[in-house]
Amino acid sequence: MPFLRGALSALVIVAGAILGSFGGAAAADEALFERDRFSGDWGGVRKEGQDAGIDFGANYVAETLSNPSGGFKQTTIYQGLLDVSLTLDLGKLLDWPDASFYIDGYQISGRGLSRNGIGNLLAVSTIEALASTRLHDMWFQQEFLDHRASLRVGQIALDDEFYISQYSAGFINSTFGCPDIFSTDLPSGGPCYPFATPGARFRAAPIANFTVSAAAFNGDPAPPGPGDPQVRNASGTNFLIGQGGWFTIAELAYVFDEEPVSSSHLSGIKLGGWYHTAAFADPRRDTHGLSLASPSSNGIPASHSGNFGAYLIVDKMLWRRPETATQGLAAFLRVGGAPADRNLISLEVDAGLTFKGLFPNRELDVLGAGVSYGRIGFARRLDRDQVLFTGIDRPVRDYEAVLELNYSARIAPWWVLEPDLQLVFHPGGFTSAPPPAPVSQPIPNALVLGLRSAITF
Amino acid sequence: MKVESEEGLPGFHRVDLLRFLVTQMAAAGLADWRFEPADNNGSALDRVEWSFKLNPYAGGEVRNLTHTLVYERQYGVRRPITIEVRLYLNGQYQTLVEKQAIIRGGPDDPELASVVATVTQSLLGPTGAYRAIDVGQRPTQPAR
Repeated sequence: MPFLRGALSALVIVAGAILGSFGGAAAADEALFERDRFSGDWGGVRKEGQDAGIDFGANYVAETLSNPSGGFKQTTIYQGLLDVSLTLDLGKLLDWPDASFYIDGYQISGRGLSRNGIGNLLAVSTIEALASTRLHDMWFQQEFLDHRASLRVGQIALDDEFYISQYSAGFINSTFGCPDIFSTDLPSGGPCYPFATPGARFRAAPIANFTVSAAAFNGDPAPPGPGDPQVRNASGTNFLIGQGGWFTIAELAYVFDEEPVSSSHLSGIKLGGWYHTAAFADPRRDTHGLSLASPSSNGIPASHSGNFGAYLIVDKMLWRRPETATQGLAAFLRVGGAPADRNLISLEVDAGLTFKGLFPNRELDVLGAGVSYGRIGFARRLDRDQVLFTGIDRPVRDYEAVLELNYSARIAPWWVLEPDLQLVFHPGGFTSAPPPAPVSQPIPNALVLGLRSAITF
Repeated sequence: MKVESEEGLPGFHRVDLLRFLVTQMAAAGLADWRFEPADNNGSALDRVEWSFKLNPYAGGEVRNLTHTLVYERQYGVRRPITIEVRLYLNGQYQTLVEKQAIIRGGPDDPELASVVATVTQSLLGPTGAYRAIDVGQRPTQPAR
């Protein structure tokens, strides 16, 4: 262990040297592995800034993922995400009580494994996106009624506050963050990573333990046109309003199991619903009601006015180790549904267990096992129709599922290392492998191995 | 005078919280009183009991993709809380001071340090709640 710790120290020191004088000023303040942030307090400057109402944040997530078997191509990728944020407390800066301003941006590097090796829907990484430098959030928030209500206006991300499970959020597969029932079904993936879109969010906490939130977002984060939406909105600065209708969502949350030492809540239930005003194409039928696979079809998908769905999230601490704040066994369940006649994924179920502090002397590490299941909507009927009408044997999409095992090792308060294993079943929902594979051959189930490093500067 | 806290406060382990409270109470500059953290051998006869309750809060969050411990350990955002402080002498309840505040939490929070000193003054200071009992008067203004 001393050698490992020494090696880790050396690695961090090298990283610090590369980053210039970031950590130098505060080096003497606290031992490297004891301080809260890698770059320390900048000789007191960070705290002075916070006291004055200016809070700067920077995180870097780097990972390598590999699919030694399965997928449409075996490959190994590297991907990185630098997230830089600035929070301004306008009460301190401008004497504007209970108001704040927040902005953050992403620098995304590398390439994603799902896009380049597996071809699946439930992307294997929360940071998978096209390499780019982009604006993410940029909003103003006003709190009122003794902080029991707040209004946030500006460019907002859906996955900042909605459909969040506190125990699923630590997994690496993207669907445990922003669920695929949003990122696959909504236009351009909706206001989920890496997108945020113009909108407004209202939240109220009328009584203890209850919050109700409602938001309206621009319907499509990317302007119309061919190609990848992450290319069409390459910098996050399109600021589209009224583009592609409106996406609205509301969520009721109740938290319980208050932990006596930290006052944090270890369990909670959320119930949510959403509605999108745009027109959504039928995955199976044309405007005459015929199957799109039929030779008689006009090839124009039927259009449905609007789209909607509902979800339920349960987080529960099952067993808390005595005399500890948050160590123990916890479980999560997320269930979301949407109409099968206008959504590629019509049902998503995520469930899992996490155990914090499983091993002696590693009280802050988290071991997690999670599974996600996404059922294919009426697109599966289109696949059946194609077999029927063409006579060509081909896979019929039914579902995609992921099993993930993840271990979050807290090396320091500012550094997490996560070895990760994922099994991807029915990549793409059990779709045909790309050429030159024969159309009858589905993309094989994939094994994914990886390691993520996350550093807070 | 022993200092106790029934409930915790985000950003602190229990022992650290008592130490922090004692330091900030001493900073209130009350020469007649000396404070020290309570031990675990039951409630002392002469004691100040602090309790902190999170008020309903609708401030919201932003997504954090790193899950580093600093985000879990640090309170990080300003939160409204209600602070109640009870004074016991010879095992008998004497008086109570309540105050609401907005804090970030943690030992480096200047607002929290300030409100602890203010509440201590309101409880034990020359014009505080206990002195008002002592001379048979109510305090001129309830501490809120």
